[in-house]
Amino acid sequence: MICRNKLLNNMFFILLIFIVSCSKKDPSKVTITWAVGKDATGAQNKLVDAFLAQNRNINVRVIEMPGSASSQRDSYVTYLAAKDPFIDVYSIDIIWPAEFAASGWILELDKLFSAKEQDKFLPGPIEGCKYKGKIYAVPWFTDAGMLYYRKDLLEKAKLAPPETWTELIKQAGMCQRKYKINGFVFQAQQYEGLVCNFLEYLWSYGGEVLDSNNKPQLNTPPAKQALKTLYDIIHTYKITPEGVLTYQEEESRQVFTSGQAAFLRNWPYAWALGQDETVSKVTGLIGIAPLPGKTKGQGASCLGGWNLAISRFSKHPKEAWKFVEFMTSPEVQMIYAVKGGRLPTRKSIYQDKDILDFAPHYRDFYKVFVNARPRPRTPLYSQISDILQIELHKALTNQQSIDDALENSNRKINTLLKISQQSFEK
Amino acid sequence: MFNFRKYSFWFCFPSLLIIAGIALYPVLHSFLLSFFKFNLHENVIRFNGLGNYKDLLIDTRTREAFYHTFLFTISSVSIELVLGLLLALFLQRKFIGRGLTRAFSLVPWAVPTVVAALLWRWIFNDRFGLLNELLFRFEFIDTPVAFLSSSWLARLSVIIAEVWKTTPFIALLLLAGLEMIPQELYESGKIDGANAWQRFSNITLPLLKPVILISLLFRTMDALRIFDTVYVLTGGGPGNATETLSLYTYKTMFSHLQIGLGSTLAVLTFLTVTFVSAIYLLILKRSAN
Repeated sequence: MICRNKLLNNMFFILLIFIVSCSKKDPSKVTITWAVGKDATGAQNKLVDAFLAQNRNINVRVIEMPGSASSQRDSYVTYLAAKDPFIDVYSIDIIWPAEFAASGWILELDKLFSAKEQDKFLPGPIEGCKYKGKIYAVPWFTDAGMLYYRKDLLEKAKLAPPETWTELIKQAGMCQRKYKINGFVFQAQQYEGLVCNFLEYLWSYGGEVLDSNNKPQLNTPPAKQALKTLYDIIHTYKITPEGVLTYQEEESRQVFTSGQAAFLRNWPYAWALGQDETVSKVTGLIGIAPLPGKTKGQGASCLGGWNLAISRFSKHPKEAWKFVEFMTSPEVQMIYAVKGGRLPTRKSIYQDKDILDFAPHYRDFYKVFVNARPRPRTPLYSQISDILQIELHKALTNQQSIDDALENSNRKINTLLKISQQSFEK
Repeated sequence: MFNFRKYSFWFCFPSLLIIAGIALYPVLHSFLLSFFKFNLHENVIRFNGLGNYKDLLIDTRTREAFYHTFLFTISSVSIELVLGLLLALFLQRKFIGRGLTRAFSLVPWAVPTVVAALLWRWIFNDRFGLLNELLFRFEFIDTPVAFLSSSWLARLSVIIAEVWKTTPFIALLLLAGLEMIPQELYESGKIDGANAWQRFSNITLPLLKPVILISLLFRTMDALRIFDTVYVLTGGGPGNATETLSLYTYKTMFSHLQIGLGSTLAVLTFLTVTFVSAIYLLILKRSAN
């Protein structure tokens, strides 16, 4: 009996050693995990391979997240609220840094990401990654609202692309009458895109959602002018399709690329589709310009784009930073732009000769990106956006007046901020 | 002797445990959370008594969500019942290609709701939509209509999409019920001189009543939780005119991360569904007696 027990014991030990040795192949190697949205181009994996080749002691596990930003946030929040150390590097949307930082979910990076280094990036994305003066993420690739126009139609009429909303309304109205197409398309369904569109009007009139003291500023004259302009474009000048109030990005893009509209407000992704003959009837006829303003040069774009942040619960923050540094380096951004079609966040790349030969339209993109602004940086952004979506859409669909919409938004945002103040000011 | 009584409980115990774990526990936990202020950002739970309930019941948004949910449920379920019954009666008749027709009529139900809703989103589109094209061709309209941009048209659109999607489900249940009615009853009815309408109202309807009630119960419970169709079609718009309870719950819970308040909304939905189901079950029990 004793003999058999001993044998069992030994076998047990051997098994244990075997298991342990299996799980720890190489004790000097550290594995970090990167959560990132689906990438159809496959460029992401190539970048990871390049990182692995340079860093033999680090292993990277890529966790692919759902394509839609909101479901991505759902899963991130699940990990982070549970203080799960599994994911080290998160790719986050430009509207999340404030929320994630205020909740204590991501690391502050000021010591690693110096002000001097920050200066090399586009100002908008950097501002978007900051919360209360400290930086929490590194801009990875960017996105911003821009004006697409029909070069052929404007050239025939000997017009330069519009620089003010008044000019846009005039030119769009002219094209609509002359060519029996729609003047201007954009996104005005009740969803996040409506807020992006509205902010561009608001900023161009010098308005803001929150002032520096975190007080809502929507019952002010600039906000009224902004919403009035947006309302008039739809209902007074009628230069939009009837359905613009139900459009998201793709619906508006299709109206434009099928040749049925003279102007389109959309994100950079529409450029490539506009040049693709299988989906576009206006290849080669599209121009890009910064969005119009109240007066010349006052236009502002709403910023999108993704950033890399390090989890507060990561067990390997050093290695994670190495990875973030690599992924946002000039060389990698350049490769990602060419192979993955993602727009760089470093200013220098837009001056690079090779890149401009490859994509001459980057020159126009840059003009848009330098004036792009992040959406309000507050941990309560999703709630503020929800209020705006509902109230603005009610005004645009004639369910309440412009004044009421702005008055209601202001009051509701004010109440929300008051209720939530204590929780974030701890 | 082996005592079955004594052991039967223990044999069922593992499955009871699993059911309790996946069905009972989340419900009870939601009930518990509904009395707390709990926001995932702060990760601190504070007892709030009936505060969440009070906040929600004085909030017009909740009332509107209730109103939209009931509007969609009542109108879509009653239209589905009428259409489903007609479809079932038609599919019961003997004609060439009946099997194929039966199979095809189930297609809408087999399509995932999100896909169906996306399909309808394009059908209702003002520029590229099928519906506008048809109305235009038959000269009902001369300018395109944006169906999802005015409150009542948007609500109607949601109802149409729901009816299209789930009528086959009701038809299927009713067809099974129809097949169970003995043919002899119709034959003797004919001999007694009853016309088609009399046979329908005196034989078919009374005998189909339990099946009708059960399919109504299923569909009502389902319709009260309507989410995907609205989420894809309108996102709750225009101006929140189609936001339902479950959509509001989703936004509160997952977008605003207010778990306590979201749980309260979920509990309110749960209570509503339970209450409505209880009424159905009561009627069912009466009719069985």
